[in-house]
Amino acid sequence: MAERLKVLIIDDDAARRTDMRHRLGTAIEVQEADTGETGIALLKARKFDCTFVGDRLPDMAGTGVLQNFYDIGDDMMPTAFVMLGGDAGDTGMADALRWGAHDYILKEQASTPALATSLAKAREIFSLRKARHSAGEKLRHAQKMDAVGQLASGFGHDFNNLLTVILGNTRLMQRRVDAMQDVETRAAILPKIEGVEDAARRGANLIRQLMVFSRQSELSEQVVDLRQFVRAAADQQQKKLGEDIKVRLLDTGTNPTVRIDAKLFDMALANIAANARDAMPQGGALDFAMGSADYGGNEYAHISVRDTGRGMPAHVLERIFEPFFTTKKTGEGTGLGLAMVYGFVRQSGGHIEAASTEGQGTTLDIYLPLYRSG
Amino acid sequence: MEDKLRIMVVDDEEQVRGVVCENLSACGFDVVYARDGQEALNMIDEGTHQPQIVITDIIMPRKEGLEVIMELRRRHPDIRLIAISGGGRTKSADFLHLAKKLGADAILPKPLDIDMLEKTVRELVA
Repeated sequence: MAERLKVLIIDDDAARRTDMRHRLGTAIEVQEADTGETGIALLKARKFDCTFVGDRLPDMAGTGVLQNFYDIGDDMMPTAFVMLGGDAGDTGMADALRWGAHDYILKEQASTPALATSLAKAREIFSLRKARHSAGEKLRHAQKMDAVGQLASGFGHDFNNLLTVILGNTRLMQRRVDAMQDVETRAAILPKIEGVEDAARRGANLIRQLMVFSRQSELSEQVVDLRQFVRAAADQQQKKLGEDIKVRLLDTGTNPTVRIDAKLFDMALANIAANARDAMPQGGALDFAMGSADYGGNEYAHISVRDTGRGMPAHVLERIFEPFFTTKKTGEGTGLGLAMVYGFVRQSGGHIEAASTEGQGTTLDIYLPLYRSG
Repeated sequence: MEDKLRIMVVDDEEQVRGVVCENLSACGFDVVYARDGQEALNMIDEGTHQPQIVITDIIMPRKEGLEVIMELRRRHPDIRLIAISGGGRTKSADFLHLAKKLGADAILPKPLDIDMLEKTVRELVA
């Protein structure tokens, strides 16, 4: 069933708003605003398919509403816009088009068919612009991913050498200190060395995640029984997450076999669990489900991880696999956890999908190629 | 002294080479190093140092680790080989797997875990 179109009318003339509402018909859900400010606030808070804006509002010109969004700079209006002009002779039409309106209609000519045509036309132009915009976004995204991949390959090798030097030297220091007779000095120095070692290992982990994301890592694949594997991972996560988060296992009965890098798969599930934990500061449930499922017409092994956390809005959700994208405070999140998951799944020949509802939780669906022996 | 395990470390990065050698020495092995693949092969051919184990980096100037592995496999099948690599730098990063296919007895990623390296060395001669 198609959803009703949502239309916003911004005009200070209540009679005209009512008239337009009737003309648009009951198939359309109409909201009204009597000032530019109210209209802008509504446009920011809700999604509309089309907005009709009067050319002269009490607090601003109709183009003021358009400018408010045009000025944001990402070149994309939140909705299709139709300007309602008062007088055919003024410059309103040119101004409206300049500020990104998709159509222009004179108030006295706003008959039922004229409104319907205008609505359809504005929505069509809007959706064309949106398609072009999102193609541009996709290209930019792909270029960014590529750049990060090149960066990772550029310094990954050198970084791993540096970390070998750091870790090798801490190991030498540990040997020396271990051999010391002075217990007090030993007890004072060892934690410092461990601090260095710990930081170096975290650095190594970062590089590893980045290299997995950019598919530069070497997969050490083995045939894995999915049910057994996910069960073990879930047990491990339960221990790590503590009592406030209940880890549950849902089994669909089928038991697929996959050929994957088990260490990386483990790391991926741990990263997902860590994000789920941060989304559930008051506790909750983390469900691991597994089985097989269709993806794009092919059968895949399917692992679904669902939390009952706070969820996230669409603009966050669409970026969660981007490297260095994090909603956490500086120092708390690297923005590489889910990027690593993404790279791992893609390099393994699989797919990943994320869905989230604010206040209800987030689900990640991983599809991995089924392993068929022989 | 005579029964110390002889190891050759081949890495073009001086600091890496140094710290790996020093750790292996501390583990009680008899360690020498070569700065690249060509030097390693020369040393072995000249008989200056007959290692039982060669630990080689993969990406090196002059002679790459993969070539070292192939040549040693052919000419000195008794020498145990450990390949180490930090990956990256090129798109086809499957060097360690390639090394294994070409005859390396063990592969270890960088950053090197020294304890793991020691364990691997001991297992190879056990």
